[in-house]
Amino acid sequence: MKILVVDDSAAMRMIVMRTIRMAGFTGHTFVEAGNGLEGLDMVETARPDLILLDWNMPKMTGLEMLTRLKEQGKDIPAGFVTSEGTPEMRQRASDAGALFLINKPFTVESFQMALEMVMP
Amino acid sequence: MSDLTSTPSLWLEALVGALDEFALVALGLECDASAPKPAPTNADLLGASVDITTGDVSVRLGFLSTAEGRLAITRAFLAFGPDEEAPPEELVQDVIREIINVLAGGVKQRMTDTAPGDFWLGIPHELSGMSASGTAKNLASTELKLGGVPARLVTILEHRVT
Repeated sequence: MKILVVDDSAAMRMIVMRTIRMAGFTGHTFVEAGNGLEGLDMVETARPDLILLDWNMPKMTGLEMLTRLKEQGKDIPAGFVTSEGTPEMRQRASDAGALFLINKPFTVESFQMALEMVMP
Repeated sequence: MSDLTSTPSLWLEALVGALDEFALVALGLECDASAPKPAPTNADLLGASVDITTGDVSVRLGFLSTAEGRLAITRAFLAFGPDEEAPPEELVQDVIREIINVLAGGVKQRMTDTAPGDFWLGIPHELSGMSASGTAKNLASTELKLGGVPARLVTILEHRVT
């Protein structure tokens, strides 16, 4: 499985990828993007099977990126990894088609719970 | 606008609570509320801030530490082993910006519980100790130790012109 991690923090992308491996999901490949616009480009070039999105990013937010993908008819499984964990934001994520929202700061267990339904 | 959101100390309390949780979950470090002695000077402190807005109030949330402190916190955040090389300054700044971003999310959750309303988070920026000091009524700050290294949390409240 190819996983696209979209976050404006290179350090956070590093930690997300490491946590996925620590959660037991090994053997997958990762591609990265630093904001929603770069993420849209990466969807075209890398064709990911799963997208993990930060919410607040410069140039284009994760929510805007997911909305744009849905408008383009690209139904790629996606979820948020974000510090925006209020019930309102969870609802907005769900309404936009996100399958899960992992709240920062996160644990390995929170990744296991969120990803076991979308990753083999 | 709620009166509660106009109280800098209330925002600071939420920021301390968010750091407590973050230190435990993400860093595996103890957050000690006792001030380091001697306290670092403003010129020695560097960190990051993010704005959170609600109604006509904008609050700058800041997290600062010394150069050594920021390095130690970065190593903890990235789970670097003792034998691994020190991370480059660019990565240290990235980590500190991400930390205030996560703390801001924790503050938002806590403030939503205290004073329900719409809260909007901005994008993190660098913050110097010199620009986050003073005794103005709109500023609240606290010194603490994070895993033994000095840190300062700051909230600066402004009323936005709409």
